[in-house]
Amino acid sequence: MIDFVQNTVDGMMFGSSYALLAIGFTIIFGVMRRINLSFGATIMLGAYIGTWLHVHHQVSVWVVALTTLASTVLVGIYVERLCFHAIRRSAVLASMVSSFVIWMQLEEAAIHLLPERTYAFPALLAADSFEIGPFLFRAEQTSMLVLAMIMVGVLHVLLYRTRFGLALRAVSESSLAAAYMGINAAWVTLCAFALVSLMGGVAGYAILSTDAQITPFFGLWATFKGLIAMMLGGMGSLPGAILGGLLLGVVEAHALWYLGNEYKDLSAYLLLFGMLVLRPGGLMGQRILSREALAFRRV
Amino acid sequence: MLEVRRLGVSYGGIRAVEEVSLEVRPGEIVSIIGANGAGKTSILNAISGIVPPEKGDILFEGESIGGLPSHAVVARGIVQVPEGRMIFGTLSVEENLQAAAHQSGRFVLRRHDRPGLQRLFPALADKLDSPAAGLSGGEAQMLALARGLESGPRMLLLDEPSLGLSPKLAEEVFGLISRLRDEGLTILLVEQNVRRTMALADRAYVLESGRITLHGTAAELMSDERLVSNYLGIPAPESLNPSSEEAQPC
Repeated sequence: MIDFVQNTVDGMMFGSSYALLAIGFTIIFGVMRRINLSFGATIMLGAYIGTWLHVHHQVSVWVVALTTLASTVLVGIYVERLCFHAIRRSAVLASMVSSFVIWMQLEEAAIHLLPERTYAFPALLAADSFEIGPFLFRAEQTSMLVLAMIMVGVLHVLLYRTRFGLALRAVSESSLAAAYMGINAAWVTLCAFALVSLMGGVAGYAILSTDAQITPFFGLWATFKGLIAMMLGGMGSLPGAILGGLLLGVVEAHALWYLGNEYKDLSAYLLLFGMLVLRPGGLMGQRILSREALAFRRV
Repeated sequence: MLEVRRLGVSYGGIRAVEEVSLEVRPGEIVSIIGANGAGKTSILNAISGIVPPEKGDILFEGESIGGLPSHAVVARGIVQVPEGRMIFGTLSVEENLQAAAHQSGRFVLRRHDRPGLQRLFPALADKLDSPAAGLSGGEAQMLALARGLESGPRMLLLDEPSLGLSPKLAEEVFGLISRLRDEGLTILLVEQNVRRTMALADRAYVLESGRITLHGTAAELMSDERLVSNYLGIPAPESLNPSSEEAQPC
């Protein structure tokens, strides 16, 4: 029983960063109705630039953290300009393919930057742990959860209390109606990319700190985890992305404990398979769909 | 105030509007009438920057706005209320209004009093917190109009504002349009309800297959036999007085 609770808590902590990744996919899907396949690679390259500074110039961990965030945002803006802004809205497939191509390009850039297979990733917090009752908490995982909660809180305020957030929600519902109302959808989209890249940078930094190493495959990994978590929760739904991320983390943690490391990733795919068969809209997807259908009927 | 010069609009090589020229003077209600597919909406969309004009120019208060993006056109003071209302169903009524005032507000959303809303749209003022998806068709059209006014335009482009409304609600919408003109707005109106529109408009242009075939004051046009038989489906009587006509959907 104690193991079960411990695993669930561990899973939720790790799942909180899956949730951040999923939020990144879901916001871009909401605004653009497209999937940004290069999101994981964006974070990976941002973290690589931070690591490169650490390897070659021995900068402090704080500089690595800030560089990682800043360069993730810049790479995110680069992706938006090149494969979303430059391709017209109706060409959904073209921008999906181009985001895949950019993913490859970003991966190449990272390999040229640091050509060895793995590098140690400088973590902000030393690997430490503390106990509360019978439960063990790892410092870096706890800080991951705290960071994720802060990010979700900030995002909530941004979306529901500011003009930018309202514009983003309006564009997500109908970019045409938003254009009639004088909302600059291109600018809102660019800001959305910068925002989700920042959140992805935080998630990526927290995950890499826990792993204490970085490889070019991190991009693929982050894209998979984020996409699976988004689809579990329901595409385009923010609460869904959070729930999906936590669920994925918990299921993976239990699979790791009861079945072993080789079943951890398999459990994620099985979970997604089961969800797509039983509830194709995801946990929160169905409700969103029916609300849109309602809006459509009235209008 | 608004001058459209030899405007041409195409979609993927298919010409929707051919060399249309028209003019709207300050304080006027000018109407564009024509059959479905004649290109009325395309003209409005070109003015508001939703579609780029293929040729020709659009002048607003003497300055060219042809080809400007839609947010720049709204910033100059022209707002289009699109056909089908296009309200944001997932947002509340209040949020719909605030989204439209996007360019003229602070970063943090804050409620403010809207005396204009209370006066012109009392039904909406009581429903600010309800989701817009739950509004009736008439309320949704009122919200679309109120939202169009929120950014403080000097000119409104109205695309089929009475479409899908009962005659009574349509009458309410036409009443509102004339009140808006009395408050100093200039209005370019596209409508199916030709008879009612002609009672309201100062001048009108008749659009056929992307070209202007007739234009003149409402009284002139209503005494034009061809127009009356084409758009009202009855032979033109000797003394047709548009202002005494009952409103009825065409």
